[in-house]
Amino acid sequence: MKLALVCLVLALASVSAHAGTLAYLTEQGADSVAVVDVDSWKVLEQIKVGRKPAGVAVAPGGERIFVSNPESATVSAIVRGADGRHKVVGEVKAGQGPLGIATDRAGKQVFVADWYNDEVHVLDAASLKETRVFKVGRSPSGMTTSPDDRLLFVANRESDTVSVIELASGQTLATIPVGKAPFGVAYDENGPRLWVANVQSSDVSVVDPIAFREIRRVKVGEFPYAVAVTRDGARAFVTNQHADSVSVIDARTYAPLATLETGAYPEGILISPDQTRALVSCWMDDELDAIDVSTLKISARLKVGSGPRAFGQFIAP
Amino acid sequence: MKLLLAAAVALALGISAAQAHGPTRQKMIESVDIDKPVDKVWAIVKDFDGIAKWHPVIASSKATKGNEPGSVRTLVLKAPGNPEIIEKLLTYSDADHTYHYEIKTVDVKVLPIQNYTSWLKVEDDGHGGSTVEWKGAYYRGDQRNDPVPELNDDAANAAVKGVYRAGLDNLKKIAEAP
Repeated sequence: MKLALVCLVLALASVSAHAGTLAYLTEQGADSVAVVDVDSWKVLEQIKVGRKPAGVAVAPGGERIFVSNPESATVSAIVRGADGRHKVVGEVKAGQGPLGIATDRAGKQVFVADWYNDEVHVLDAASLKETRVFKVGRSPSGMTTSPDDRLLFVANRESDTVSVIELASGQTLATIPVGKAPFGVAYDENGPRLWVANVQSSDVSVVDPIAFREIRRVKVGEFPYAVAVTRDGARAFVTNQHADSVSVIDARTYAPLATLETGAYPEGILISPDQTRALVSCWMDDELDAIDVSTLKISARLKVGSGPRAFGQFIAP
Repeated sequence: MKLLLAAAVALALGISAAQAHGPTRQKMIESVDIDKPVDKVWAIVKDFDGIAKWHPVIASSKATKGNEPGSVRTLVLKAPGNPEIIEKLLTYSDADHTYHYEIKTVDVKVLPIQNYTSWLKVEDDGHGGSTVEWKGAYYRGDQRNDPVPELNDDAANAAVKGVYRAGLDNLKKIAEAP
């Protein structure tokens, strides 16, 4: 009896140990997803998914994780169990070239951008059944919803635009011209603003997501890929793929604050839920870098599997 | 004709667009161990405009601004028609014995790749010698869902690997020559 109780306590302790902040890195060269405990700074698990995974979307709450596998043309669904362990519960076809992936804020719908067919496929998050398809611009990539889940914003890399889709009607309300080759997007409730990384014009477009127009263009390094903004709207961090760096911008004045050297080919970037660190997935060097948000120094580096991209919402609260 | 043949082969094998590869970025890492100290090896490879001195298929390599980031070099290859590759220096560190550059312009018939960046680094092997690592990130030459065979991922990887091996093996020969 006593032993059983101890076991129960231990089991509960292990659940809470896993309930901290987790990062899910799509390891393109290993056909897997690394689960990183951001607090203890360790890789906990490596989960096999489809071929050459790239995009990732952790649903709100963190129990479900969706991954795009461009070379299998599928989406994998991973569930985090009560014991903290992960299991792939499904892999479904999703268009011809699924890359960008996102969920709505309710966690009910999964949006999958089809690079080749210029469409966004909408899957039911529970059944993984396709419910709708939206036609968008050429080679759609990064996506995010508005906080009220009314709108979906889609960066169209080869059209140099952002599509605004009204989710209730499925209609495109606007197509907003931005910089050249927009890729990663971030919704910032301060403003509000939509930040868009323009890969080929080496800048970031700041878009008014209510008036549907670009309000600002901010210069960054070569080949900007993704943007992360602190919750208070004070600082924006941009990964520069070809400069092996992260540009830090004062998000209130748009002045450049710093350029930080990172591992080679930095890609996915997000701010940790406690707002202390920016986590950067470095594709070429197979590492996750942590930037201290206040001192703007690299505070830690962690080796992971081959080719981590982590394009999308890769952190679970 | 070649394209038609590729299409016929694809049909015969039953390769459909749905099964074809997406435009996944490729990664190549090649290295060579050299029985000479870092300083000696770095002295051979350090100049962005000096690659023709150690790479056997490059005839000349003039650059606009030496080793300053932003410097643009024009490689003329030892091949029929003297094809050119234009490259730009992105970062450079004499202290860390490394530089990083991208290809601005190349014909896919010369090198079947797109959106290419590369890193060259010389490191101390801890035993008085050095290791030279050459890394590349790039996409295949044909980014459509169903690439022609001569521009697919395998063709891109074979070409980049060939360039790296030829350069590194020759560098070892030059550096270790008595």
